[in-house]
Amino acid sequence: MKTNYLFPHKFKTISGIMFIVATLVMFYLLLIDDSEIINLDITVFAVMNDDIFGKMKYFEFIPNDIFDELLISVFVISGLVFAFSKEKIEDEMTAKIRLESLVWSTYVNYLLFFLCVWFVYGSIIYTVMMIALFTHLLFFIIRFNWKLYTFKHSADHEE
Amino acid sequence: MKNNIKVQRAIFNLTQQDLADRIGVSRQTINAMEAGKFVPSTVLALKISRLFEKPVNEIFELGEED
Repeated sequence: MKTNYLFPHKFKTISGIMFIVATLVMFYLLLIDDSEIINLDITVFAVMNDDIFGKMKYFEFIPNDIFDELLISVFVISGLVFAFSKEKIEDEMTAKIRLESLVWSTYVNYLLFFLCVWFVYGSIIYTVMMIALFTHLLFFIIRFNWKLYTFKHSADHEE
Repeated sequence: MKNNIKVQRAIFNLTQQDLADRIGVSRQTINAMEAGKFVPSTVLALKISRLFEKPVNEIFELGEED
C-alpha cells in the first residue's frame, strides 16, 4: 500500500533506541530529580519570556540552559519517527492496527488527563499537564507495537 | 464479509505465504482475511481476484452483519 506520511523502515531501530533513552531521562527529571545534570547555557531568541514576577517580555535575546529544549526535541523527533516509520511488511493490516492504536491512545490519554484535572490539585497539575503532552505518543507507541507483536505471533502455524 | 480464499488457495496449490508474497502483504494478513477478521480493500480484493482468475463476487460475499 502506498502511503506518503510514513518514514522508511530503516529508521525504526535507531529512532526507537533514542526514544527509549529520551523517555527515561525525561521521566527521571520530571518525577525523581530535577536538578541540572548538564548545563548548556547559551543565548537564545525568546518570542515570549516572563520573569518570576510574571512580567511578560517579547522578542529579546536571553541566556538559557538548553538541556531541556534538546531533550524534548530528541523525544519528539525520535518519537514521531519511531511511531510513524514503515513496518518491514507494510500492508493494509498494519495500517488498520496503526489507526486503531492512534484512536485508542487518544481516548486513553484524554481520559487520564480528564481524571487528573478533577482529582489533582495544586502546582503538581503543571507536572501532570507536562507529562500528558508526552504520554499520547508514548501510549500510541506501546499499544501499536504490542498489537503488532501479538498479530505477528497470532498465526504461527499455518492452517 | 465472507470469503473462500482458503478454497481458492487450495485449487491453485498455494500456501498462505505464497499468496501473501504475490499480493504484497504479510502471511498473517492472509490468515486474518481467511478467518474473517480483516476485510481487504477493493485494491487488494481485485489483486486476489486477478490472481485466482475469478470475479471478486465469486471469492467474496457479504455476510449477515454487512
